[in-house]
Amino acid sequence: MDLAQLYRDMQAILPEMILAVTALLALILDFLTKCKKSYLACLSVAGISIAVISVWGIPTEGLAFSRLLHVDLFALLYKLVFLSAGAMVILISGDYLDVQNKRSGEYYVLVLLATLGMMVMAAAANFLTMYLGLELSSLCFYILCGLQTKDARSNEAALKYFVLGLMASAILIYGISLIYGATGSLSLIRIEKVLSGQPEGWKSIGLIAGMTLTLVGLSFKIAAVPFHMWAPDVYEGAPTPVAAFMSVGPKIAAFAALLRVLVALFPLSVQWGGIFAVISVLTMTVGNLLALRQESVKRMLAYSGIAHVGYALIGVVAGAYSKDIGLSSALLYFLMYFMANLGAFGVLAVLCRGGHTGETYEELKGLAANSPPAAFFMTIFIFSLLGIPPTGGFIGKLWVFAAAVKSDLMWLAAVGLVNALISTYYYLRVIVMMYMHEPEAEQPAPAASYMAYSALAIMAVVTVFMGANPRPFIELAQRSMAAII
Amino acid sequence: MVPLSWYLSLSAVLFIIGIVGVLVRRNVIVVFMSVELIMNSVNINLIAFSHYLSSITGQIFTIFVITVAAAEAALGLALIVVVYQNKGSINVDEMNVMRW
Repeated sequence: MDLAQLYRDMQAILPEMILAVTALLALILDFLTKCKKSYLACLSVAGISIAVISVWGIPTEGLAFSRLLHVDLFALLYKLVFLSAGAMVILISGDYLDVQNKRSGEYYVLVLLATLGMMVMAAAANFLTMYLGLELSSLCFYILCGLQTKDARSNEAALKYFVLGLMASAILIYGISLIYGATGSLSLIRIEKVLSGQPEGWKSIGLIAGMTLTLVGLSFKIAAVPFHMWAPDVYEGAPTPVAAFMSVGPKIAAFAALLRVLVALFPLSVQWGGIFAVISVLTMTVGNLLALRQESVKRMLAYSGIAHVGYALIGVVAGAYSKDIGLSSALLYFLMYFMANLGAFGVLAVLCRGGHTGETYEELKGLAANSPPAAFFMTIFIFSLLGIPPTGGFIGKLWVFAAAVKSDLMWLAAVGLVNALISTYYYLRVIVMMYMHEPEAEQPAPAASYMAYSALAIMAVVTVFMGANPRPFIELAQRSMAAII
Repeated sequence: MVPLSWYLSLSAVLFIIGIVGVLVRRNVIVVFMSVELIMNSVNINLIAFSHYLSSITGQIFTIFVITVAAAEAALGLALIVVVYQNKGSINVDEMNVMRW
């Protein structure tokens, strides 16, 4: 390996390296200093900011490290998504950690390493790198879930997530091993070449079984019905900022990996299109119906997050018929959705203060009088999740449904539309509680600092901006998708 | 020479035993061991294919799978210890603080 090649490879993973160095630095500083750890938050956010800037320095085409990592627009877009999600989570979590008395150095290290794992996953050009990225982020999330070691709910969440996540990973690699046997390679590019080189109608049982098991493993990670059971429990038990991160990070990373796998397995699009048509309908419907009966807003958001995966899967199903339109709409959906979901959980994290968990509908009563900015931000995020026009969520839903219609899947778009209508009940209930009810008892004002509020404000502005000015984002999603097809 | 199908049958049987173990067993440590069984079935698969395809990639993947399994074992046992300290039990049926 010559030095010029090594230099190019290193340049391609510059953001990842910066993140890894920041994480290690935070770990060492945490060990060396005994004072309050809030400076580690600043260090982490600074590291992420430098990583974001460095993203602009990397080339937007090619492969790095002996064809193990993609360096394309798709990977770069996802890297930016994960980096910004990581930064936002660190900003909103400060107060929550103080209230829970859990501000420790390892929290930041784990968030940074989880972000790193997800970035590797989105850039994977090989099942090996995909698996390693997945495990790096999953291992960090298992610990983050159980961060409140004295809390029974947190313990339970961590253990459930660990056992089920481990099983999902194991099923995933079993599927990968079968695909390896059928195609003789672990490289996604090579697999696509082998498959498209086969004569029409060629399918081996091993390949179909491998594909099914791989998709089952990834469906676990994106929490699609019928593999969603872990999600509500884990989100409810995990510390709220961690739940915020988990509801966007691993889900979107697994979705990115899913898109790459599906593109590699495109010669089998009839099979996976069928599988995902069923999963998509189930995911939307079950997610929405179960969200209706929740009394905890945190749990409601977990179920509604499941429903959102279902909407995005409409795009995937459409992608089986018209590749670029469908898959790019699924990508756009998550691009539009992640800030709003992160923000909604963020508001709940801010509301956690002396004696209040801030997690139930009851505790949201009269929030508009008690803390106008928190209520206002929550409204914007809820509107976006609901899909009301000036916000990003509307554009996301519109493009997914449009992709379904363009691929002659009118029925699927109709199911999606009905589900979007069902979701108005539980989303609007949040707003009704905040604005149309008097606060029941004297409630302490949220302990939120400027840091948390500014993060919420950034997310709200981005949500509205994406909805009001969607053109560049739509083009970005289409160009990123075109880069991997 | 042992035919490939024998290896694949062995790994399929291990995989099924592992899945059934995860679903049926109630002790978290046994559940955890069942998952390890699935991972080992993956390793057998990968190495068998690697041998019959004469490609080294499968064996390299196996080494990574073993490494990750070791990291997961450390983490899993730590989690189990924390749960045991709080609850005094590691029975899956008692993990029911959160419902619906």
